[in-house]
Amino acid sequence: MFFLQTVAPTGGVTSNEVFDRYPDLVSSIGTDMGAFLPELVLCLGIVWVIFVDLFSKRQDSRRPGWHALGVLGLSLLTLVLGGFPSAEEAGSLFHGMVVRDGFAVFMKLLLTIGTAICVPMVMSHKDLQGRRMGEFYGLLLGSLLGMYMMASARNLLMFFMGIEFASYTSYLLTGYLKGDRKAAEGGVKYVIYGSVASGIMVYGLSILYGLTGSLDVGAVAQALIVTKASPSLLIITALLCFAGFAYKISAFPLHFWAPDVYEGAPMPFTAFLSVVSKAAGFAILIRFVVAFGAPGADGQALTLASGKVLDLDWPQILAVLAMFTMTIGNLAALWQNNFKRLLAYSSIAHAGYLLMGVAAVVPRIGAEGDPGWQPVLFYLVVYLFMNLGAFYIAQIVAARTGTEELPGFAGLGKRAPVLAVGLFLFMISLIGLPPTGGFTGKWQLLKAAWENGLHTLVLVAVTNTVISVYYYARIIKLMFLDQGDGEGYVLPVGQRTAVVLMVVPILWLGLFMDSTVHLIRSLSFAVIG
Amino acid sequence: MNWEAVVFWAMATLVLVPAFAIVFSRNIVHMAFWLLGTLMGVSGLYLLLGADFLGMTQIFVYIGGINVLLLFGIMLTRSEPVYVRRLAKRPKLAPGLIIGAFTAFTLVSALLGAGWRNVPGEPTETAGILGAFLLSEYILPFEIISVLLLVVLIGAAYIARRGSREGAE
Repeated sequence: MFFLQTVAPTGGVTSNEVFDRYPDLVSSIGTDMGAFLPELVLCLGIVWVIFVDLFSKRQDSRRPGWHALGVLGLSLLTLVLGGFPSAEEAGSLFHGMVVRDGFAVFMKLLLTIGTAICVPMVMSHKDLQGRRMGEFYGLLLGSLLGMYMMASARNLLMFFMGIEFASYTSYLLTGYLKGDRKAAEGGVKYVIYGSVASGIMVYGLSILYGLTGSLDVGAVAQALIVTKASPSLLIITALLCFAGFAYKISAFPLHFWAPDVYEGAPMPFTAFLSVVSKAAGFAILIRFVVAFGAPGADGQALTLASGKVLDLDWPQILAVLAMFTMTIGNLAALWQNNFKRLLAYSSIAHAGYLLMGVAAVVPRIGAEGDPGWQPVLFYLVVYLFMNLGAFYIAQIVAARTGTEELPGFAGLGKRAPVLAVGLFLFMISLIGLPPTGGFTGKWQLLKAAWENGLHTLVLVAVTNTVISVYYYARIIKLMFLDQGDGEGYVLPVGQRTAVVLMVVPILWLGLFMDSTVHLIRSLSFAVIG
Repeated sequence: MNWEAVVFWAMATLVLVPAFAIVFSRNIVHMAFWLLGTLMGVSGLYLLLGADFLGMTQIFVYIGGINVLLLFGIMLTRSEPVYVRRLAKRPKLAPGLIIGAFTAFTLVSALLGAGWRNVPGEPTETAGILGAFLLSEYILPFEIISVLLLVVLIGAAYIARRGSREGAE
């Protein structure tokens, strides 16, 4: 990746011209709508699932779920039919508010598939039965819409709105089980921490606006090169902006909300947060980093995202953050007894590995050729399937045993072999061992970091992987070596199929990764310059 | 003194006098009503500067929304008048004066050193330009915000609804 395609910054219509040029400005909206179909489907879908819910009985809480799946399928279909825009077709829509390129379509596909996997989990979740679920699906689709914006934003306004859209809906969904104390605690904590993080980010974005007088990422980047703003101010600005992204991907130092929120939220939504939300966070982080690392008018890379500013090395800052993120996540995971909390810390650790991939690429942005985002994207694909799979199996087990604590998994190997083997493979993949996608994914990340000279970071990451074996293997030991009480049970065909469907991609990505790697490498990426 | 100066001083008085009254008043309902004057005055200043849209938004949002919300909040929570209690101990004067003087100095020096320019020509009306922008260049954020408001409204209605535990409405 990527075929870089430079898109001209939008005209920046002045207030004197707006009336004269109004017909032109409006006429392009109609053509842009065609490329905006997946988003439009979601907009209508939000209203549709609530409408369906109005006309169904309360006991029939699955019905809006099927409709939500239909909406997601339709959105997926429009995405696929639209195809991956090639480098020539890549461009921006709605006067430079969002971009349309291969990267955006790829991320949207990933986000939609992740959400579509979460919906059946919602439909089969014990605590979400027999209540009105229209709002839940409406909010879930809304959250996805916000993440579409995050994946394709190119205007600072859209950056902020995408993140806020995804966040507000997430706050509400975390506290969806209103009577539950933990859900309320998680929801409130999420709102408070989230607002602070957004506030910090807006502060950074507003400094960018103040320095350059523009909200268009391309125009901002160009203006920063021309005006030669003070480097220390740029570093502070970049860190302030990073707060918002770090929050979405739960990276150090804004990771502390994750365990409480993950524990309080209903299990399917925890899965959604840990995977889909995180992928959207990485999409917007990559978009931001690339925008401000693009070659300037005189061919020199911008200092905000790449290169050295003062004595501070921006890739090194990212590398240190990645180190802290993975170490904190892994060390804290060692002591956890609740499955959701364990996976919360594990997801923080994985954010660290992914951040390592970003740190490895940053120095190469703006240089000729493919900067090499491919390991990060590949790992996101693998992470989607392995983490959602682990949550899916945990939900089935929790429904049977009535507890989300780890001892509930004891003896699972005897009681339900299919579940145990599935979870075993997901754990192997989360550790990063062959023959799973976790191995090939992590290998590529480590390789990229090593080749770009981040040797210390690679050593820390390998050490962390060794640490993580302890807590993942603890679950494997519980399942196969320990005695558990409770009857054995036969899985319904639907659940068994679902587990197999999740395992297949993990093994496929582990054994035959070439086609996926090739697809990711061929994606176009609209660089704004 | 031309008419603009007269209107300016009238509006400035309308901002400042109620502002002092809020600080020295003890009844919280009185405070909310005094706030009305301050907000009106600020809106008048905006209008005077030719920011017609901003001035009207100020009235809609702050007077129509926030001030009414304040009064509703008081009305729904307390039945008897609420008085702000004075501190039992006299607060120390010196730190307050120092911080106040420092803030005043910073603000005044910033205002004096800002290098204000006179905008040439008559102020044009802004509402039309803003409307044209919102429906052309900024149509996407404009429409997305409306979807966001809809979704958040649905969520708020869900959270505020009674009888959650059994899923009853």
